[in-house]
Amino acid sequence: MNKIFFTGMIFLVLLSSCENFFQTYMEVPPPPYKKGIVVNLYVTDDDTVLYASVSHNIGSLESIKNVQDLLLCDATVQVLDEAGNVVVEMDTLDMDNTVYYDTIYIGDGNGEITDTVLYPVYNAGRMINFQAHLPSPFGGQGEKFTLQVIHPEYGTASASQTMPSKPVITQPVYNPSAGYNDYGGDFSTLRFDIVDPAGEENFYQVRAWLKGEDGRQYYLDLDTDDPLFQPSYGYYALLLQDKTFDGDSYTVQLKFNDYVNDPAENVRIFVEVRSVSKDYYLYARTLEKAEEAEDIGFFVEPVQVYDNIENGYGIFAMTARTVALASKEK
Amino acid sequence: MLLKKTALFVILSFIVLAGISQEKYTISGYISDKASGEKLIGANVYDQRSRSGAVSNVYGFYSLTLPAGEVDLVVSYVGYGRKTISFTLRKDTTLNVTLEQSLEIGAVTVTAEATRRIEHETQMSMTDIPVKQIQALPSLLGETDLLKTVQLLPGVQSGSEGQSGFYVRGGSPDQNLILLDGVPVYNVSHLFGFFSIFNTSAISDVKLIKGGFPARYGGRLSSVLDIRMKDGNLHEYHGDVSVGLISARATVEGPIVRDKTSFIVSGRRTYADFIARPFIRRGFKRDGEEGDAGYYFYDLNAKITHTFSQKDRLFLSVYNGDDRFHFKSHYQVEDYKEDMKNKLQWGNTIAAARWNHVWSGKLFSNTTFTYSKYRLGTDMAYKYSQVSQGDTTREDTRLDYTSGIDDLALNMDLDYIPDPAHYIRAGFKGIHHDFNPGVFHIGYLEGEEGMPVDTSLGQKRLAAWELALYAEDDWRITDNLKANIGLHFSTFLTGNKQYYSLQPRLSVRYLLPGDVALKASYATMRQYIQLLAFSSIGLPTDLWLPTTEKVKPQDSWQVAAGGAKTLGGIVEVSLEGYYKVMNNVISYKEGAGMMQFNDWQERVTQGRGWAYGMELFVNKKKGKWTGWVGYTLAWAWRQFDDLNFGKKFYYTYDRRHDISVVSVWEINDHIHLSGTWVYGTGKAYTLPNSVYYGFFPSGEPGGVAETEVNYYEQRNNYRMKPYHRLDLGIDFIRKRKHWTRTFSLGAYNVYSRKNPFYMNIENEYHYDMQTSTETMEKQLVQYSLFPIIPYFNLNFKF
Repeated sequence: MNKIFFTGMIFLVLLSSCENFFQTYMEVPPPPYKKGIVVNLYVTDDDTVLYASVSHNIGSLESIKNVQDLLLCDATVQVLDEAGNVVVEMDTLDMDNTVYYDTIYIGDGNGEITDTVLYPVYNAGRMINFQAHLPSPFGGQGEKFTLQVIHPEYGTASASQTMPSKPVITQPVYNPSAGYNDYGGDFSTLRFDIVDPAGEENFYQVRAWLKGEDGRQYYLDLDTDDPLFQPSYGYYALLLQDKTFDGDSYTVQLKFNDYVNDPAENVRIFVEVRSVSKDYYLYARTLEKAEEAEDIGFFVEPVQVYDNIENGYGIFAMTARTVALASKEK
Repeated sequence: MLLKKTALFVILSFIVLAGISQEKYTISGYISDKASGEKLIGANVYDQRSRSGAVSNVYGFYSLTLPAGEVDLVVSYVGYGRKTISFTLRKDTTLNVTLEQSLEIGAVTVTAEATRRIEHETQMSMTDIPVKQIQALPSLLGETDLLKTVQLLPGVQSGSEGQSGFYVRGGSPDQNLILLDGVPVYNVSHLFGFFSIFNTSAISDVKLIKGGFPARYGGRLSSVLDIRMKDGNLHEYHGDVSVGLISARATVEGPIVRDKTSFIVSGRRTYADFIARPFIRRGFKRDGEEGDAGYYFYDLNAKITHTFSQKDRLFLSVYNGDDRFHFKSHYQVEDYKEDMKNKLQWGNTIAAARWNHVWSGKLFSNTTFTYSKYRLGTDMAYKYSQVSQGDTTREDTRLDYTSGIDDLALNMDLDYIPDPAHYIRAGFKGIHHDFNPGVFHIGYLEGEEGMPVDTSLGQKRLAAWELALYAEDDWRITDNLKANIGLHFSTFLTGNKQYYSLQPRLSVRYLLPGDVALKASYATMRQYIQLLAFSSIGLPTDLWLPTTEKVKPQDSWQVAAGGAKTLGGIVEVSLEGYYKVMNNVISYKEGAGMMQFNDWQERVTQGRGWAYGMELFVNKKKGKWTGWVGYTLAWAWRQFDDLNFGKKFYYTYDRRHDISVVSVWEINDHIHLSGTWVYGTGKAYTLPNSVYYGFFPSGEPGGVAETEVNYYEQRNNYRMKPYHRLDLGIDFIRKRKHWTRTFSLGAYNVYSRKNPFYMNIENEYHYDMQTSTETMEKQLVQYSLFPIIPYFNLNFKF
């Protein structure tokens, strides 16, 4: 028996002498991935300029010095209608000498356009490398469009979207001193109705911004007690789906803390409601959740970000917006 | 008239003859160990003349109704010498039988009929694990672990490296009903899951059921692990003391009133904190502080059994166990003072009062009143003060967190055995649950004047009632065909919502020529409480939560079919296939986690799970060499509307192949060798396949935000490396007249396999001195917990 015991001990000692025998961590290969085109294109019905990002993905362990190295500027980017006609051919952007603008049409809440605002695009980012100037607003409500990106190395990626109808909303009203917030300051409320078309699944994104007399303008940090609203990726936007009010008029009640109650100040509050495609909704929701999970960092379930690009990654989304000037509640 | 009289005579004759031929009497009683008086569970009583038999229940009671006349009873139990008792049965008879442990297990041979064999039982998907075998197997740090032995059975998978949690046929750990003397245990692990709470010195019987659940069990979807504590020796005092690497344990048992009242007390405690304390204190001093820190766990089992008469027995049992971590430090320099205190504690308290009553030779009842509590508490306090130019600045912060579950239950079980063809069980159970889903209490004081904050955050306590009724019959339809037919009804009242469930159960066995049994079963189950657990590791902060109006109860159905045979009277072979569907299984939503304070119901989502597979089990239970080989081929899936975009995905513990080889070789009376080898397909894990960048319309009017997206092809898209491990142990036994000493040596993970425990993507930075540039490299790193871990254990039995 002693023989067995000592043989065993010698065996253990021999094993122990192996390199890294007691090491408890090791590098392992990452999950495999498919290289592909990454596209981001958002089209709003009143857009006259479209911007797109076309790049390629990298493995989860690859690191890059500059994300612009991933851009694929030699791609062909087209938007086709249902008949297969090219309605938009996008051009490579001169990334160093371009000023981007976003045109926003202001309505009176009854479908009439009362104003047009051209906002410069801040932080346009290093990832926008295609643009198209349109002769007129994109329009196309109810029509289906296909995005097609062709690249000599990465092949063809595509996605289809239907342009939603412009949302119908009632005249928004705001109350600049509806109550006191947790910090002892005023909070304001904003109220309006969304008239939801019946028999279809609709998704909305709501934002509001303030424009002061001195020209300062910023999005309002909206809050709500309404559990139907969900946060969206990015700042100041809330998302809503019509599961519980299909075909009905839905009253939106929002709160914000920004100071708008100075009688000396003639501020204007604009409400922007977008009908967004389901793909946009899912992308914005999951992107928001992924960012939140990233912030928490540990003991959190991973989030899969939605995408709709066939043979590629990213998002092609369509939205139709209505912007209305809110009136002060009497 | 004559015709009428003749007819009456014939009818009466038939009745009398029938009465004579049906004149039957009942033999009943308890079967116990001769030396200790400990009742034997599952012992076989077999009449060789009528070829009828019975099996003792979990309290050692049996009942066998036979025709009047001569009987030749053979009473047998694995590891014990059989006893043959012959007498003339003329009336209902109480016969208590004692069996003696066999010194030469291998030498004992009994006829096939007289032994309780796998092919004779209607129940399928069930395994009895001898406690002796659990104690004989090598273990992590020498801590004999019941649950780690359960993990070695086919159809049962272990979780992460070293963890005690187990996964049965694609189910989650909270779907296992773990009963200690009939009382559900909620948290079964110590030291973050590395050791189970069950002290094998105090345990007499362990049974695992994975499917074909008899109607008497309910409340969980995937398995029942029925653990019975020893009653204590009725005749003489005995005990054992063990000292191992991390803990010591002691057990004492004996009669309080000889042959009437017995007790057993068993305790275990880790002592690393005692050993480490001087070093820790010295470490604090070196840093100019005063302080202390430590961790320990303990278990205490106690039981008193009293026999009032042949008909009445009373059991009082209690378990209490805790894990405790504490840390405190004090730092003072001139006018600056800082104090810190942390405490983390979790554990179970379980108590049961049980009354066995024999109403007649055919009717036995068990009434139990139980209490089960799981608690978790943390207490963190930080205090500092500084005096500067006469002004005192101070801060006093305290954070408490408590969560847990309290159960009070009453149940009654009736065993009615009208004849050898029927074994009828019926009963009810009522449980009052009181859930504390986690409450934070924060106290804060700052500044000289101080603005005190004293607030509680978290979830409201929830109460619920769970009631169940059941009836089942183990019915021998013919000599070859047996069935267990049952119905389990349960209801759950939570808030204003009440749920009901009727669960049919059926198990059938058909004995083919050559004693090959074909078995099939169907069982539906319902579960009203669930464990909200983070998917990758088991923590004491995992919460037991009830079904509510929003969170629906979990349901399952399972079919299983297979065959079983005992080869050569000593090797059990079974092959089973199963298909199980689970509805409303629970999972955290994407992006949700344990460190969030919103309503837990908003953090979870419910979906569907299903699992199927095949299990082969070859088990040698007798002889000098015992052990088993188990192989499982299995698939386990999940599908949730809110996860993986509604598409099905592999469950985290989907394991295609699972092999276990377990062996104990009693070379002679002085040396026993043991070994286990396990292999399992790697765990499914979620890791990003690739990364991509883009933009999103956001920010100020007209602004965009750059996005970085981790792309996951699907949930659980990555397979960790396969798990395999070899454990070896050797026991040196020295027997003396009054004591036995066992010195155990062994090693866990003998060839130091780096089994995956946790994966992480890490950034490694390289600095180039020549170019003064820094580059970053990402790595996927797999962490393992245990390389080879040797152990020793010294045990004295007296």
